[in-house]
Amino acid sequence: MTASSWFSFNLNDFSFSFLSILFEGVPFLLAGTLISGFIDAFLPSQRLDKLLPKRAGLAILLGGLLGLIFPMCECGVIPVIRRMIRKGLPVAPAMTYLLAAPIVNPVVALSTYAAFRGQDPATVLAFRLALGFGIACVAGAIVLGLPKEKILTAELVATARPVRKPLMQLAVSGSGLASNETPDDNFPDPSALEKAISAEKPSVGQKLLAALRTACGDFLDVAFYLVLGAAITAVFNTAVSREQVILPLASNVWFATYALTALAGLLSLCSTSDAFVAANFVAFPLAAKLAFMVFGPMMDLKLLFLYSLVFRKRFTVALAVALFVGIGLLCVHLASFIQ
Amino acid sequence: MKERIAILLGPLTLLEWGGILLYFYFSGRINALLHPVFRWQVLAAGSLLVLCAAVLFFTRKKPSQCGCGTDDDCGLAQRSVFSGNWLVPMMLFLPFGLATLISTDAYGANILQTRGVANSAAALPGLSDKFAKANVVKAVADLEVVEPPLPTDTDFPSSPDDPPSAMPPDELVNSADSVSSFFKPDANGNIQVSVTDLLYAAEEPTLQHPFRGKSAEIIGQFMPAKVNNASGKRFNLVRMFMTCCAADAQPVSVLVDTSESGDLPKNVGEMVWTRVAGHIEFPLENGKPTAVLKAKTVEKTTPPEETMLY
Repeated sequence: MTASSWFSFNLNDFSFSFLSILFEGVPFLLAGTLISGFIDAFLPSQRLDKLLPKRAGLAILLGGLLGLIFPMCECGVIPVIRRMIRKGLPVAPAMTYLLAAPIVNPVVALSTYAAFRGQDPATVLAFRLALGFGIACVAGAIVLGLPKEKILTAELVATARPVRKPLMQLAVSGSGLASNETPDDNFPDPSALEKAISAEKPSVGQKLLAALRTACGDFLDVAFYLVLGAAITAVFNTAVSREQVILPLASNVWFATYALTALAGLLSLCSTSDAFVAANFVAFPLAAKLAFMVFGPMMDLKLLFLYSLVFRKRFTVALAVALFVGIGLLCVHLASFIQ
Repeated sequence: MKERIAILLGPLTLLEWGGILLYFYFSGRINALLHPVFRWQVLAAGSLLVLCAAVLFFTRKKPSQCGCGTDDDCGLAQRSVFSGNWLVPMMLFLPFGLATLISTDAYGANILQTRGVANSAAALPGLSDKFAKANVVKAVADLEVVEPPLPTDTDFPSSPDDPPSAMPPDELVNSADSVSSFFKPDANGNIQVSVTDLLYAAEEPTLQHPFRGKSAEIIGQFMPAKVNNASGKRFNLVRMFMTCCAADAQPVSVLVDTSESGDLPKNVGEMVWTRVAGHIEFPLENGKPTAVLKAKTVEKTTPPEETMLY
């Protein structure tokens, strides 16, 4: 294989692909940042506390299923999660929602079923949802045992409202909290800003304005990473020969699974439509297609940059490696059952 | 100075992005980039971004005047775009604008090498072998067709002059006739077909009947044929089949044979839009029926309004 046969860059093709990724992603990103802005302006932190289950396990399970009610794609969910963490959502259910929502949602379920018509769509759909939900919950449970300083960016740790006591105790057990402390001791009063806002009782118009301004700020933050991710994705999308790099790996289940997992990471397709592309890999086993459809929405090149808004770099890399290896292994193991 | 720039960069960036989205939507350039289902979202997002730019601009404050000192208020939108270095504003401003200027809204021949070319309906994105058949049945569903048993190779004629050795049942002939009603001849007596019409028909024998031997016209992008071209008088007509956006577009092609009309067209470069008129055949090639357009005329043409197939 010569260098020119597997890699050939063309600026026009790159620009075209880059634009199409941006045009597909920007509306979803904007929707996510608008929701983020409205959450910030209209959802008081105390209300969020009341909505969350008190038991961490239940909160994680709820996070995994929340996409059924609030379907979000992987681009849109990031600003929402960042805002929710600032509002006091514990990291574990936030992580579960972040990973599960782009898969466990009705839009993706419908598109997966439609794409695999004629290829046992019910089985494919069931496995995709189950794997998406299960892996997200496991990730949430693992994160539960880690201090948020090791997970979140320093900026987010500094601005996040502390988690209420019961979840906090589970998350940082042994962290030195006094046993005689009551939950309320560690459940601080609303910030000075919140107090000031509530004292002034802003009108709906003022809240709307604040929501829009917050949404604008979030959008500009995330758009920077979307541009970076889209550019790198467009290079792989147009310059790397799929026929020469990916296709020869189809006959071996290990190679096939990890090849499609890697391809999902490189192509950065939207979870609402990736099943249509996956169904086209006729030469590949179903397990490899599942790996493509589960790993892609959870981690890809574009998300690698977007996640850096929420997570520390080291954690993002560890998450990427763990998801790549874990999803690949699971799907290879499943291959003998779902051929 | 920096403070002033910081205040203006947020609204300006949003205005640029919103303006580009709206420009693509209203100029029709969006057609090459996105599936029709997603295009309204570009209009909505473009409008909202322009609105957000206006809101940010008319409610702007200098960070030093704000006094809030938190990310959650006015400081955030301004700090995000300009935080002392030029990398962020440049990344937000330049790539989107430059790509808009550089892109010709179409892929070149390079993409055929990197993505490969599908010349079978079963290889179209989202269409497995079975799904391809299911779609064919769906296409004639209103005709109450019963899916026929798959014919053997001997059922396929090698040319329009050779009658099929096993004629389809009457109801299928009726179905095929009804399908053919979708393809009305134009003033020149040609039916207008697309690359995917012929790929579907090649996969499904009952759908070949409405096309076989008919005069047809098809538009695509010219590419020399590197396989199945012993005579050297064939070329491919290529189109891009889009699932969601241009990033996932898959090249698809049908063969055009110019042995009846003469040599290959001259002065037609790779990926140049070409209009071909001729008649359709489904000869057996490499053991499977293949759609081939026997060309009578080949000429350059302008790109169609929708350059992508869906």
